[in-house]
Amino acid sequence: MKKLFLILALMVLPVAFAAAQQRKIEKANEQTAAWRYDIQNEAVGSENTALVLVWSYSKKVDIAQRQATKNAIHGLIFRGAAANSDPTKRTKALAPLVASPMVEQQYAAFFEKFFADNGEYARYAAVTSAGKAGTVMKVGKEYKVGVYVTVQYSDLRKRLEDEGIIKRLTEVAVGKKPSIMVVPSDVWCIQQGYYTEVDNQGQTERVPDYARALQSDPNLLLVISKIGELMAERGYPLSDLEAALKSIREEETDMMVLTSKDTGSELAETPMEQLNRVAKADIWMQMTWSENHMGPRVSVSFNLQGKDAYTGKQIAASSGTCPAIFASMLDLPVYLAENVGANIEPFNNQLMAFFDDMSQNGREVRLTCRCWDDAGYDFESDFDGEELGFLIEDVVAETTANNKYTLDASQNKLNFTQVRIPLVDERGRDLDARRWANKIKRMLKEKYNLESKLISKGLGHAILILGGK
Amino acid sequence: MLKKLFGALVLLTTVLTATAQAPESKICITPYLCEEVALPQGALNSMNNKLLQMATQNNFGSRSNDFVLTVNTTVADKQITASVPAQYIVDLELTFYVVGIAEQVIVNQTAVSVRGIGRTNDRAYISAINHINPRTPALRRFMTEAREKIVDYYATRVPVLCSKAQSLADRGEYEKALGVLGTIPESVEEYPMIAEKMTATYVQMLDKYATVSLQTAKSKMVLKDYEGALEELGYVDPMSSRFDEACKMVDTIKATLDAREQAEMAARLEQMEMQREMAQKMHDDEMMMRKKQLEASQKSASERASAQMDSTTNSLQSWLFGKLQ
Repeated sequence: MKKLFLILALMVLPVAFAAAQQRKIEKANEQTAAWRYDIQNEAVGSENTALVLVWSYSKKVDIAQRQATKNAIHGLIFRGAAANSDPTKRTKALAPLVASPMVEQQYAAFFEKFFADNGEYARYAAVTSAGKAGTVMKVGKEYKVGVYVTVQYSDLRKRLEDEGIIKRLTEVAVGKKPSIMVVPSDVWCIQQGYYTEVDNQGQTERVPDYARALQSDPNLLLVISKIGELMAERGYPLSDLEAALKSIREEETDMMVLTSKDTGSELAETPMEQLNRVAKADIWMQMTWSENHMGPRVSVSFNLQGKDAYTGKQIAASSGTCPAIFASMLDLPVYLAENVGANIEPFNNQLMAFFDDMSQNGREVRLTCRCWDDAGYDFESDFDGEELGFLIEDVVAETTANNKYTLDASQNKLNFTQVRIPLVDERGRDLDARRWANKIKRMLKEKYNLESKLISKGLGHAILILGGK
Repeated sequence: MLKKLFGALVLLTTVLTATAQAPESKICITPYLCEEVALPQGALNSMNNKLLQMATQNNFGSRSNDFVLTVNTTVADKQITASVPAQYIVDLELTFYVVGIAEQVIVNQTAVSVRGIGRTNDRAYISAINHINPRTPALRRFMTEAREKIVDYYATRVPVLCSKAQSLADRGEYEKALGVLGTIPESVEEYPMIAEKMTATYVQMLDKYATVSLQTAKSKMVLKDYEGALEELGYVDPMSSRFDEACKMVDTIKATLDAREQAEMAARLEQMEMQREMAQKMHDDEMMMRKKQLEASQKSASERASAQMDSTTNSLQSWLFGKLQ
């Protein structure tokens, strides 16, 4: 009898134990499916990892701990992470990787498999510490358990990009692709002494000397290189400032030495062309950093601003202060590059939002209309019973993407700003400010026989001068 | 024959043309850039070169101290773009002057506006200066007008300047008179007459100095300071009209000095003769004494020698021949 009882017990116990484990997992999955958790950004590490504190809710502490990694990944994808209010940590909120929570339903099949037990999600997260004192709290009838989880943020984003859930920067339809260039800000150049003082008719001006900054400051090169590396990883290589300056000098040399073999003539160049022999970019990424000394410790504050070259608007920004370390341990270029790299994601997200906006609403451009002083007419002159300024405005209104623009009009100047033009024209060719403004130029010629000169300043700014070429 | 006639005609025409050269062509204008001009250091050389080009390309290739071509610069506008790198744009207003140095008169002026663009402040200025074309109609007209104005100016000024110079000369202020005449450029048609006047004034000045020197020399001669008088007479310029008078005075002094010298010489010679005779006499006395000493010693020596000879003969005979035997 005893033997039989023992045999029965040995047969039943493992089964019962397995069933109990299975019930636990099912219960955990049930609670996870409800996604009851809070997530907070603790730190952004090097190589684009994110350390988050996940508070999971469950009646069982161990269930909450088990599901922490899943909650961390889910939170970063769909909800984002809240900022840490601790002033010593200085971490900011992380925006969700996807633009809309509806994405979870749109790609339900993928996410079901992704978040399954032993699913792919586990590759991107690891628990850093669990069950520390102070991280388990009783809230009513259940527990609130805090777990630190390290997430491979960049790799997670790339996975979603590969799956097509998130668009890459280069995949957003923006017509002619804007060029981006990293430059040191004027403030940084002046603070570091890379400037020239010029007496401009009684006023002393400080003019940044970018060439000297690039030749003298290795930290600058390292930071520019790091940002370029990160943007290239996102599939968006940047234009290099140093290469642009060298290219300008090469062009100047060519202008000096090139002569016609037959006649000995030199190359023709107008003053405007000479003036435009500068580094060009559609979006400027201005970089600034400074050291803050607090006794034996030092921290570094940085600011990265993305500005549209034509509208002057700030389209993206990322700033922060790196955690303080002992001054003797500070290796500024490496430390700065790491922290800039760790904070590039918010910048990229804003850039993505800018491209999305451009894709949906059209490219924002600027049009300036002027008259030569010997034109014989101005924008208040009558043509067909209507002032010329209004005639031009009508054409602008017809050709914008949404009939919206801002106009600053006067007798000799029309300044159209916040103009949205389609990304492509009727023939499917990419449209920029120059090609768009050419329509106005043709209208003036065909309808009123008015000659004009069209000057292009990049993708987003065109100048139309009436009265001749 | 016809060929020879033609050749002679050509030669004559050439000569006449050369001699009938307009006075304007002799006018020289020197380009000069003041250090105080408001240009960056890097642009000063460019501006200097440009002034030189303006002078040479408009046939003012010679240098003179009478007329100067210079420039003053004003910055009409300057802009610095906010691009990467910054571009400097400079609008310059250049005012060119032809000035007469001696009389401090502005003969002609013109203004030119230029614009330059560059990556630095200096480059922008240099670019602006390089846009000046010395052969533009405006600048050529400026230089031609300057030449004509100089000629016209001095055509009216020459009589006035001559009167002024004469007045100064009459008052004995010869140097000032020469200074006034020196302001008249060589290119003026009446310059040969001016040159003669200058020569005459100069000679008058020399005569004045010569008179002073002669008076001083005479005074010194009275005081028998002949060296001093000679020194004073040395200051008389050979070009002075009183140079002959000075020469005569020198001869007089020389003659006086010669007579005195001769008397001194005779006295000296006589003294020397006396000294010579005394020396000779002393020499003769000494010689006599030595002669007597010599004779005495000779006599003594010969007496001794003969005594010795006898002794020697005896010794020889006794030793040598004694052994041989």
